Amino acid sequence: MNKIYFFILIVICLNNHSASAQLAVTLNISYPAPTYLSEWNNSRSGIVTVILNSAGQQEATLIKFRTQLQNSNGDIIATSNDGTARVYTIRSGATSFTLDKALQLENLQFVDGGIINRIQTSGKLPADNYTLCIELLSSVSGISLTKLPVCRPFVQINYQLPYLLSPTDKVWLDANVAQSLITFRWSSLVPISREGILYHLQVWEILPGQEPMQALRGNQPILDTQIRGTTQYFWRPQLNLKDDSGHLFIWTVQTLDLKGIPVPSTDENNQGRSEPRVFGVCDHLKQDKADPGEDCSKERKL
Amino acid sequence: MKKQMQYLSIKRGAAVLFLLQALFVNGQETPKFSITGNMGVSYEGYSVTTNPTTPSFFTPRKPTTLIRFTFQPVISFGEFKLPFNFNFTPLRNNFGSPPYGFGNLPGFPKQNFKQWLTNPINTLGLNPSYKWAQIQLGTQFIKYSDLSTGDLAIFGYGFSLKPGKIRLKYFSGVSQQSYQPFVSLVPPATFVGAYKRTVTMGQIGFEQEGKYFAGFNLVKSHDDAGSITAPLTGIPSTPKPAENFVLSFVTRFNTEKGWYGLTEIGTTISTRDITAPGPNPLLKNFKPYISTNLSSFRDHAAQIGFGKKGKQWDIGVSTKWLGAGYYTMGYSFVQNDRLDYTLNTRFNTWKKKMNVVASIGERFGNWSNVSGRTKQLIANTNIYTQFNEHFSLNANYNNFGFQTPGLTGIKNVGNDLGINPAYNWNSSTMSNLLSLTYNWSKYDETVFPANTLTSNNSQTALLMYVPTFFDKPNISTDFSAMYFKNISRPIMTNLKIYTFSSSLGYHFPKQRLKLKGQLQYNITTINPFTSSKNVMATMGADWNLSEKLSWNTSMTANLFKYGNELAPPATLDGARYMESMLKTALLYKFGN
Repeated sequence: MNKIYFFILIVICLNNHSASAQLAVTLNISYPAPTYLSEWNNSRSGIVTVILNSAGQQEATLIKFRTQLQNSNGDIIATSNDGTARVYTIRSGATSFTLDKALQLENLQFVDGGIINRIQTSGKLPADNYTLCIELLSSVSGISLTKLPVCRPFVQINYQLPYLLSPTDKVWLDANVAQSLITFRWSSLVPISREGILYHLQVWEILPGQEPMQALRGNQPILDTQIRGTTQYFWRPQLNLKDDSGHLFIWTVQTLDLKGIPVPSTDENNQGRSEPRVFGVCDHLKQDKADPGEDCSKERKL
Repeated sequence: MKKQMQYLSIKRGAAVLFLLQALFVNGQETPKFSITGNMGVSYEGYSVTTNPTTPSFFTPRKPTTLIRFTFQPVISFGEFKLPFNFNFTPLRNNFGSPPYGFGNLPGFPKQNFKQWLTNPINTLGLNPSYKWAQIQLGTQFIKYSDLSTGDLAIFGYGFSLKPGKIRLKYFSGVSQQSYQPFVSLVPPATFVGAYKRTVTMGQIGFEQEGKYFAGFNLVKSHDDAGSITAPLTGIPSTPKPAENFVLSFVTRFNTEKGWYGLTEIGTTISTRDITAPGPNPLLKNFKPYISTNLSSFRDHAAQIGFGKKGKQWDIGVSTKWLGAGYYTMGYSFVQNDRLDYTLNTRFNTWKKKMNVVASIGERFGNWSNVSGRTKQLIANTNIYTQFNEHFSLNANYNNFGFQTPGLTGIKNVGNDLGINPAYNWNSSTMSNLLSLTYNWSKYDETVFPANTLTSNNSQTALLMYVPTFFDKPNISTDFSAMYFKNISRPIMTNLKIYTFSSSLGYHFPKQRLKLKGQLQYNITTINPFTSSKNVMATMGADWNLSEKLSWNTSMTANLFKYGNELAPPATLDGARYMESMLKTALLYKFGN
C-alpha cells in the first residue's frame, strides 16, 4: 500500500503539477537555468502558472509562495520565510508569475555558507543540479493551498567563454608567412554545450592612430566567419601586409548558441565575446629580438 | 592728424612685435612658442565584383569608402602645452559595440551628433597643460591600472595634477551613447539597443617618476535606465542597465639596480540590473558610492609581479587572480574567475652570440569551482644564435595545453616547433641573403567521454632570397616561396597552400620618391576539391612633396578563383571575385 502512495507521489512530482480542489500550479524552468539569479525575473527563464477554479465566484484570493531549494543530493539548501513572504492576489482563472516571485531571493534563508559566498561574490548559484519546490499558502490562514509542493529540477551551468590561444597577445608575426596564412586557435566553451554552439571569429585591422579597442568597437571586421565543431581556423588574408610600417590586428571569438543568441557574459553588452588579443604583422621581423613585443616601426607599436 | 594716427599705430605695432620677439626668441628665461605634431587626411576605397553575381558567395570585407581626418598638433608656449588629438571619420556603423553593424540597415536612425561625438571610432581630445597641471577634455583613453580601468574611450572632462610627489586625477564622461532598439522586417534583424553609460574615475597617490608609485583608484560606471524608452524583453532582449564600482590600491617600483615590481588589489561591486528590487539581504550598500539590489554581487582580485632587468639577463615572475564576480566596466571583456602565473627570462650566453628568451606559465579557469577547474599550460622558448657574420640560426618552440576535468571534459594540446637558418654572402658587386623558415605544428582536440580526437598536423616552409646591389643602391627586391600543408583527422581534410611572392622597390633620391610593387601568386588545394588560385598585385608610391608634406598611395588588386568547392550549384564551379583597394594619405608635419 505504501508503495502505491509512493508511486502516486512520484507521478505527481514528475508532472510538476499539483491540484487541490481549487488550485492547480505548474512550474517551468528553462534549460539551462538563467546564469544569474537576477535574471529569473525574465519570462523567457520560465514561468509559474496558478489556475484557480472558484466555481464561478470572482472573489480574490490572497496567496504567498513557500519556497525550498534543494541541491543534487536532495538536501535543503534554502527555505523562504513565510512571515515575510510577499502577498499576491489571484482571481479565478490562470495567473502567471515570473520565476523570481517563486524563488523570492530577497526572502530566502540559505543554510550553506559556501553557496551564500558564491551568490554574494558572483550573483550565481554554483554549477550543479538543483530542485526548486514551491507551495502556495493562504496569506490569511497560512494553510497550504496546494497540499503537496510542486517541484522542478533545474540545471545551473556557469559557462566560461573561450580563451584565445594563438596568436597570443602582443606578438609580431612574419609578414612573409602571414600574408598567405594566419592560424587562429582558441579553447572551447566550458563546459561544452550539449545543444551545440557556433564560434564567430572576428578580426579587425587597427588603423594608424587607433587604439585596439577603438578598432574592435568601430571598424568593419576584415575577417568575419562562423565556425562549428572545431576551435581552429586557417585564415588566408589576401592583403598586402609587407608595408614598412607593419600592420596591427585585434581578434576575438563570439560564442553563440545554434539560434544565434550569445552565451551569457559578465557584461551583456559584449554579446558573448571573449577577451580580445592584439597581434602585429611585420615585414622586417628581427630574429634576435629580446622582447617579443618589440615594435615593428615608429608608427606601429604593440 | 592722419599721419599722427599712422605713426601711433606703427609705434604700437612695433612695440607689440618687440614684446612678442622678447617673449618668443630672447634667452632661456622667456617662453618659446612652437608647434609640433602632424595633421592629415587618408582615404581608403574598396570595391568587389563577383562572377557569377548570384548566388552570393563572397561578402565585402571593407567599407566602400573610408575617410579619416587627423589633426594632432602640439602647441607649446613655454611650459604651457596644448596637444590636440583629433582623429575622426563620418562613418556611423560600429561592429564590436552598439549598434553592432546594424547602422546600415534600411531605416536605421541616423547617427545623431552626440552619438557621433562618443562613437568609439572617433577621437576628439584636448589636453592643455601647464607645468604639473593638465586638463583633459573630449575623448580620452585613460589607464589607471590593470584592475580598475584602461580599456575605454570616454568623452568627457577631467584633470591630472602632479604637484611634487602628489598625484590627483579625476575624469568623468560618456563611454557609450544610448541607442534605441530597432527591429527591421526586411531584411529581418533585431538590434537590441544600448543604454547610455557614464564613467567617473579618480586616483590619488604618491609618485616619484621612474622610481615608485602608490595610490588608490576609484571608478564608478553607471547606465542611464531612462535612456531607452522601450527596451526589448523577448528574445533577443535589451541588456539590462548596469552599474559598477571599483576600488583598487596599486603600487609600483623600479630601482637603479634593475629591480622592478607591481602589486594591486581590487574589489568590485556590480549591479547587473539597476531596476531590480532591493535591498539585497546578502550584500549591503556601499554608500555613497553604490547602492546594492538583488542583482548585485561583490568580489576581489589581486596581482603581483616582480623581477630584475640586467644588460645580459632578465628574469621576472607575475601572477594574477580574479574572483568569479570581479568585473570592471573599465575592462569589460576581461575573463574573471581565473588564476594565472608566468615566469619569464631572457639571457645572452656563448660569448654573447646566443640569445635565449623563454617563458612558462599556467592558467586556471573556473577557479571558484574546484572540481570544474580548467588548466592551461603555456610554454615558449626562442633561441637565436649568430654563429659568425654569415650564418645565424633561430629556433623556437611553443607549447600550450588546455584541459577541463571530468566526463564532459576537453583537451586541446598545441605544439609548434620552428627553425630558421639564415646565410648571407657577398661578392664585389652584391650581397645576398638566403633565409629558410620551417615550422611544424600539431594541434589535437580531444572531447570526452566519447574520446573523439581531432588532430591537425601542419608544416610550413618559407624560402626567401634578398639580393642587394652595391652599384644600384636605389633598387631593393626580394623573392619568396612558401609551402603549407595541414592534415586533419579523423575527417580527412588536406589543405595545401603554395605561395610565390616577389617585391621590387626603387628610390628616386632627388625627387624624394619611393616606388614599390609586389606580386603574389597562391594556389590552395583542399581535398577533394580542385585547386583555387589567387593573384594579388600591389603598386605604391611614398612621395615627400616637401620636408613637411608627404603623400603615400598604394593600389592593390586581388583576383581569387575558386576550384569546385562551392559547387553545387554548378554555376559556382570556378566562381571568382576581384577586390580592388586604394589607399592614399596626405600627412603634414608641424615644426622642424
